[in-house]
Amino acid sequence: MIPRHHLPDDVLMTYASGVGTEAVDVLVSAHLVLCPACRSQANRMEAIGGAVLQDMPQADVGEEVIASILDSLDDGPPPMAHPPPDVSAPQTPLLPGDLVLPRPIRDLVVESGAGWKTRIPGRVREISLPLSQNGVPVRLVRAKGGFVVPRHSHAGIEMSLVLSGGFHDGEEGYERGDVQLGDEEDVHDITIDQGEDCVLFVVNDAPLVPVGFKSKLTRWILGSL
Amino acid sequence: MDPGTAHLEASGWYGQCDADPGSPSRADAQCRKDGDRSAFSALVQHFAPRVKGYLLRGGADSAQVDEVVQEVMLTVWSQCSRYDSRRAGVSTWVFTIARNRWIDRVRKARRPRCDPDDPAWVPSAPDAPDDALRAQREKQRLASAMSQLPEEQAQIIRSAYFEGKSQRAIAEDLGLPVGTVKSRVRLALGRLREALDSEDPVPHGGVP
Repeated sequence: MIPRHHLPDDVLMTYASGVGTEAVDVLVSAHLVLCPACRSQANRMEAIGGAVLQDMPQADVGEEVIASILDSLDDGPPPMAHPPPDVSAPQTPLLPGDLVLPRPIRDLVVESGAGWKTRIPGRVREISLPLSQNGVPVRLVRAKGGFVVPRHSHAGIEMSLVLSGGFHDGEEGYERGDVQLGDEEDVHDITIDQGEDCVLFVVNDAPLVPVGFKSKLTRWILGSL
Repeated sequence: MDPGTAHLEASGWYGQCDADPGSPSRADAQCRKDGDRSAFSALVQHFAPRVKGYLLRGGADSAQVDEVVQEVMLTVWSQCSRYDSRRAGVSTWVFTIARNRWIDRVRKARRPRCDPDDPAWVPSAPDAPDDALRAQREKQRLASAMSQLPEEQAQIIRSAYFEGKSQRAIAEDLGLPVGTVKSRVRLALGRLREALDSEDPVPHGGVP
């Protein structure tokens, strides 16, 4: 499945230039695994990095540093400061059917050891991950088909990546690989598509702002209290 | 091709690394021949001072940076069988390795990788036969478009890539609203994309 809702250039550039936050980097890299079009665009942003590296003011590197590099060629690859977790052991399936999580998200879930917690019995479960954006935890949310999220907007930016199933925000549909970006001006009216569970990777940088009188209930449902 | 890496490309070092992408072990073995070592040594002489310049940008400690420069160059050496010259110039490849290794260290966590071995990987459409040529042309057009950017846009691109600054931090430095910085980034990226697309358009977001 090829995604239809993509990441904007400024988000891709922030990722490519290496100045993004960890939470957004996870979302972007997971989207890039699923989206050839954005991958090709991100490769171009990295090519800008390559071109600027080429013109970079050069710093003095000592002869002994160069010699040490050339003397170590038979020593194998340098160890990773933080190697990825071993995911070869069987895992509890986190997505419906045969779908797999992109490694950037899967690694995070495996490392955290966290499991699903029920938020609304029979409807919504979530995993709160040990990673946050401006103090707001990053979450994996799993909702049943047909579930309706009360109308809401955001004080900051929300980024959601669909990992299975789908949802509609008004008329617009989102499926695996699609990204939805929302800011304080957007009001969301979300219905989870019928069929398999919809799993979302969600990064918020500020709490949600419910629209209308059901605000306490909405906040509780959306998990921002 | 970058003028500075022309001799490296001519030496065939990564031409050989690339010889048979389907057989990493064979390509690996080829990279370890003595002839490749001298070509790799030229690559180190060329890139190590640039990578160090890049890593020093945030006022980092020189000894720590030297360690990362070594890690970066040895990662380049150990991963040469994975390098694909059709997709990226060697300077781009070195840039991405330096960026990732540095972030791993400062975050004290692994920077998430977008890795073709990911079981969830959705492959791109098969490459057109003239892809290598296209990549070369794109690289030249990109370099020339970068040199023609208006200074106010070029400055922001440089700050983002080489001072490691977020758009918000750049806005604060320049005393500009974030919106203005964002729109300059958009303009700059628009020009670069226009240059890249001028001969052989590659649609973004319009994959059939």
